[in-house]
Amino acid sequence: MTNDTDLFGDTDDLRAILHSRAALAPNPDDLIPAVRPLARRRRLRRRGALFGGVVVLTTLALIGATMLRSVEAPVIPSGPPLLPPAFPFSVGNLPDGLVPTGWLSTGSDLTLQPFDRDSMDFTGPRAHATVQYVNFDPALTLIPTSQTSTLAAVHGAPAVVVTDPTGEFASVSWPAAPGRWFAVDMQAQSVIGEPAVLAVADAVTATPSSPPTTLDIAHLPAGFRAFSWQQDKRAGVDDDVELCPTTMTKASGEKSCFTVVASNGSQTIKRAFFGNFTQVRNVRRIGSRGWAGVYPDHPAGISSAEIDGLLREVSVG
Amino acid sequence: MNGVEVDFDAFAREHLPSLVRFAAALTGDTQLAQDLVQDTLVRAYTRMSRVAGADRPDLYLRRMVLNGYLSWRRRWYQRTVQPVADYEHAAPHPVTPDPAGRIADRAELAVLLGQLSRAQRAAIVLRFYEDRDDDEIAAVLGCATATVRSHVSRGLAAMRLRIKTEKDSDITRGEAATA
Repeated sequence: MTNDTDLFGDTDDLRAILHSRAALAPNPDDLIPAVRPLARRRRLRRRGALFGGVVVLTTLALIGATMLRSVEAPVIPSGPPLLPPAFPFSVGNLPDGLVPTGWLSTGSDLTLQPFDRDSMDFTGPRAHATVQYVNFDPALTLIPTSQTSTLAAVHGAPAVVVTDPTGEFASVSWPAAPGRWFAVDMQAQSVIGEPAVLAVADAVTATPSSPPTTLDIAHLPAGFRAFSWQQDKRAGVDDDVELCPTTMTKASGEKSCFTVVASNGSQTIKRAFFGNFTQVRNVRRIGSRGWAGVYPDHPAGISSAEIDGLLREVSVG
Repeated sequence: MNGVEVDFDAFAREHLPSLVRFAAALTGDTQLAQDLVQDTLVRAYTRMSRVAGADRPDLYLRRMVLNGYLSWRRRWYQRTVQPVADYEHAAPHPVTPDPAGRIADRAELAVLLGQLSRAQRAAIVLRFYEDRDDDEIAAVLGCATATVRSHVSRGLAAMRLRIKTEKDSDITRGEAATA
């Protein structure tokens, strides 16, 4: 184990916080009685999925009835359309079979989340790479324990390369603009080393770009805007966008946000919707292959009618 | 009740108390912790022999909880901010010479913890709440031990930098007010 005390000074406060959070744990005795009914329900769903039997038809009928009811709900959205995210950088062709598998965009003025502002993920047969555009200097925040750092250059700018002694992790960061930095992290199950991470860094340019999206919302709810948006093919989710009040602050906004989750034909998200994540609400079919639902941060934060109204504005493709 | 169910009840009673606390420490949210552990329990029930037969069922269960957390609530947790009151009431550690300042620091730390990447946060919970070693954390996260060290290092450093930045800002504001 590494000497974390040296990294953080006194970790007693951190431990105290974690113990405080653990005190929020639900009562274990409340969980066991629900297991068997839920397991039976899951078995029924699986059986229906496998054999296309009566259970599926019944479920679809129930969903249809729900959708019919939702048509009568008032339409709340009346704001502007959801604008696609804009990244201040592009990533060209990458070596080693690395292909795009996801991205994350958070608003530049999202004060609650100062780190990892914009990032793109690339996955290959041997490694995973993340390109980030951040508002802090990664070379200062990365405090190596057993890692070593060296100086290099990326596009003529001074860069700091950090490698792990195992060679399975490497990172490089360099300045992009005043107060902004690029960072590339690479991880692999085998040695990757400095040249590999520098090769990815060389493919990063300051040309703005928009990542591919599958989700579109014709009208956002008035007074709401997207605070973050991401896509993660590896998790089976095409897009999820987090909508929060434009007036959100640290103190007031936490219970007012909700996430619209969308998938273009993904089986994974369908399973998740109809699995035990019961807080995903008002799942509906969008077009011929798409699915979308809403996950409110707080059950009372948005009504079922409002969700239905919003989902009618959603297209997936 | 058949034998499998009897075994499951005993298994659940043995592992649940620590598992719900782990989920709560990870999420900072009672309802979400309950959802994650409930889902894990259902999955464990349907594959009881595999879970109970694992070399380390405790780690296996934590990995199930973590996978649910990482794959679904990927965005929400990073924005979660816990109210200060939670920590005023629940903090079990000794009183310090400056309790008010200490509580404020802890509240600030809680916010910073919520701002880490999901992997960093999970690694820190496993290290500093559960006192797991690198190999155990790697087993739960499904990554190399070097990656575990990286997550912990980056997470701690990010929080430390943020604290320093905010304290510097406070000093600057104080000096400006004095002037």
